[in-house]
Amino acid sequence: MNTLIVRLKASFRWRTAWFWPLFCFMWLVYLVSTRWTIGAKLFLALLSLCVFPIIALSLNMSNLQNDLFGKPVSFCLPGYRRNLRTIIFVDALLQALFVPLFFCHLNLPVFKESGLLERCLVASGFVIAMMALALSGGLRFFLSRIAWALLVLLTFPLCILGYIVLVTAFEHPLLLWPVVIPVCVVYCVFVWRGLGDIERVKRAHRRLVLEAAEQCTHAGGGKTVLPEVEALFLSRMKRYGYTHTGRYIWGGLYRAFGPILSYWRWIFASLLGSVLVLGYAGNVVQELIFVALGSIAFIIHLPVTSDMLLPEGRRERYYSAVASACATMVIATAAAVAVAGLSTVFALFMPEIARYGLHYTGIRLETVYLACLLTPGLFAFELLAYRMPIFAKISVYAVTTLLVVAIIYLDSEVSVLPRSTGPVLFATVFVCGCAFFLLVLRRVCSKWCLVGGKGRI
Amino acid sequence: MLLEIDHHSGQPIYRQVIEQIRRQIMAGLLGEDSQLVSVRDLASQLNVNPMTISKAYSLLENEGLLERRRGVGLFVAKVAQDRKGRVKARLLEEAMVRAVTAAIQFGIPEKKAAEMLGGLYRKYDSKSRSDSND
Amino acid sequence: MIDANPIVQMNGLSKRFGKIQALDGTSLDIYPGRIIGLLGANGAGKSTLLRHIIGLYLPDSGQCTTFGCDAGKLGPEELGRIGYVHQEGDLLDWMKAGQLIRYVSTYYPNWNRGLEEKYIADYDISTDARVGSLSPGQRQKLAILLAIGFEPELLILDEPAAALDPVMRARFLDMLLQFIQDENRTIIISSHILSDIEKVVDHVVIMKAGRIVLDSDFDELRERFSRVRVSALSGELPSELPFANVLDSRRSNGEAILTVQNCSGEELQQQAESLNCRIDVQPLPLEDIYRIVVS
Repeated sequence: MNTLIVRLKASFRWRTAWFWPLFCFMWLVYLVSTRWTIGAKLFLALLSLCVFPIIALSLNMSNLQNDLFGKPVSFCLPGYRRNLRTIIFVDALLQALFVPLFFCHLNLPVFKESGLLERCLVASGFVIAMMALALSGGLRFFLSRIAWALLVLLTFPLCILGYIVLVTAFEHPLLLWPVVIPVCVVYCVFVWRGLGDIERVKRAHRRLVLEAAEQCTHAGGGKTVLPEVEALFLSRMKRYGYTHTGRYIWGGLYRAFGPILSYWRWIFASLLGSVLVLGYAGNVVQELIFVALGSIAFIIHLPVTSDMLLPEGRRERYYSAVASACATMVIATAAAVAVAGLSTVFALFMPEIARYGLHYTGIRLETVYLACLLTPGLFAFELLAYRMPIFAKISVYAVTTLLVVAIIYLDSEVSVLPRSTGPVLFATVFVCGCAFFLLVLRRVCSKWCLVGGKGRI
Repeated sequence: MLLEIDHHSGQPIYRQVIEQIRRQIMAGLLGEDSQLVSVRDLASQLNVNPMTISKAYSLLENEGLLERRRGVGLFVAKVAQDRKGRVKARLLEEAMVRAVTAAIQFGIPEKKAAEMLGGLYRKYDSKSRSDSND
Repeated sequence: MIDANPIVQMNGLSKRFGKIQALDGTSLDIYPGRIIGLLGANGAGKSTLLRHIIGLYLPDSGQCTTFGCDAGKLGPEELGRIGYVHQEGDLLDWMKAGQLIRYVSTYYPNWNRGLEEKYIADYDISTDARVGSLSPGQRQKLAILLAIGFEPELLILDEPAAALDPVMRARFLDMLLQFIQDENRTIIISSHILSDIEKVVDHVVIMKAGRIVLDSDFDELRERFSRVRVSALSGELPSELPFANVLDSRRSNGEAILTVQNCSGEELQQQAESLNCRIDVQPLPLEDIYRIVVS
């Protein structure tokens, strides 16, 4: 086996396998979205076009880091740097093959006019995807970490830009496609050649290694808790006696939310950004995003399973986990309300890009309760996950997919939740989720191992 | 009371403590009725577990070399002269067995070995005498 | 020597993880004032045993009582007297070291600021660094500080010194000995660096495949085994050496090295005299004792 094959195999290892269900999930959503407007569909296609390359590439990057730190010998294998571009392009190729399928489903009037145009469109989907992938792949190697992070942040605004370009292209196919496709092709060739300049790649690679090493070892970078956040939680803790459960609840909240609250500037910025984009996205996407908001449950680490011994017994762990879960739902709902409210305000003055079918609509306040719909269930899964990681991962995908499919099929009008059965259904889902979570939590706190239960001793 | 622990010797620490105290008592460095350092002080001074020291002390107490005075502490006990003699003889024998077996192994005849011993005895003894004369 | 009640009592503990029987009917009492060395190969069940003491694991069968309370029901009262360091233990990576210390200390009424400051200075812990960016050694030092800052009565150290360099390890062991000067305190330390453990422990527990194969006072254990070098005073050694309880012997012409069990020095000396031999008796290092007990 040569170096190239080994490295390509790494992209499709189990560790990265979660990428594929996600991809299939998006694909599924897309397929069942036949009733959607072309705008919403195109938006989704574009989203996947921008998001997947970045995911794929960050996976590649983590593989690279693994190689460097876990298997330093592979780093010295012959042609390690030389086959870099092959890897980027093979990965890009494999993923780009899916993208034209999105375009086939758009059902645009132009398809009906000419067979040639249709083929041209499918081909362009491929080429565009290649460009997006090569763009991200190429740039990662020649941009600094900060520039790269900025680019990732810009993904969503870029989506709108890409959307505008694409819609223009659909409207004037004969004018624009001959421009879009050559540009993409030329860019791909440019990146291919750029990555072929082995001296440059070496330099870029060395820089990546240094950056990664810096992250791995000292430098002391990274965000820590803001002093105000620390003071807030510690003062709350000190209000209760040393054996009082209140102290443990506040301590647990600190552990769960300290890091998130310390990023509040970023969170605030991303909320604002999402308000900007979501207004244009149409109801279904809004609802989907709100449901996905519930997945912050995966970021919050419930203060149940921890190896760091604090004087909290199983009882205290139980109460502080319940408190953290409740707080999560409150915060998720608050964020949702904020986004919805802001979008309503924004709707007053956001420009109407009517020419491209983009209307800014405020997010309906009824959508807000979707935010914590999944949260209790996800928490329960998180608790189960540390014992059965694979089972939990599969279940999460299954449940999310089912839910999205349900939303779509329950939807008789265009992307509006059924007003009559919706609340009842969701209340049922939510209450069942809560009950399930409490049951699981009780069981974990009274019967299970609290650390490292994966068969490890 | 100056003790030194060798963590690398493999000899249990309490034994090292016992041996050194016993030797000091026999050599008169620790005189009768002198008080021993408390368990805790000695333990922290030597940086060893207090249990080890208290074990060593109580073994020495059983042996009759130390005596406990209620509420005051441990003292070097009065030991009858003949008993003391026996202990000294045993300690000396232990040391001499090594020398004698080495002599036999090297094929040094008894007379020569005895002469060497005598010579060494005079050398060190005279030295200590001249030291004390100074 | 044993005059107090045990602070931890384990009775027939069994624990199974999937196919692995991690603990198999383990019983062990832990008495205060000791430094207990817990030895065993990887996977022998040391960590599992230690985690049962603090109730992080619950046994499938059997019972574990810590400070007179069922380990699964330990509350702040009891847990506030136990310090625990695990080799790869979780710390809160997103805090600064100083923030983490402040956070943990908030849980303990008897947190010793003086000790904390002394330790930070001695061990050169940078309180401004983000915990996640600390080197493994730094991290371990911080974890140790967090576990001893409140002067726990029971300190459980699961491979605590593995990431420390030799100088730091020596300091750490000295610190443990300082710590134990208060006779109410107990330390359980599991490690596979036997030469470290040897210097501090006074009681040894050896585990193998989830069972305790040895639970003994360290001094007794050391006196039980010895290595004897027998050399003939003249000529050859007799082909049959009359020593009892020989575990292992190697010999060349006039010399033999034996590993013997349960033999007092005097007995050996007498036998040597009758054989016309010279003997040198040396205690066995813990590493060799461990190998004998486990095999």
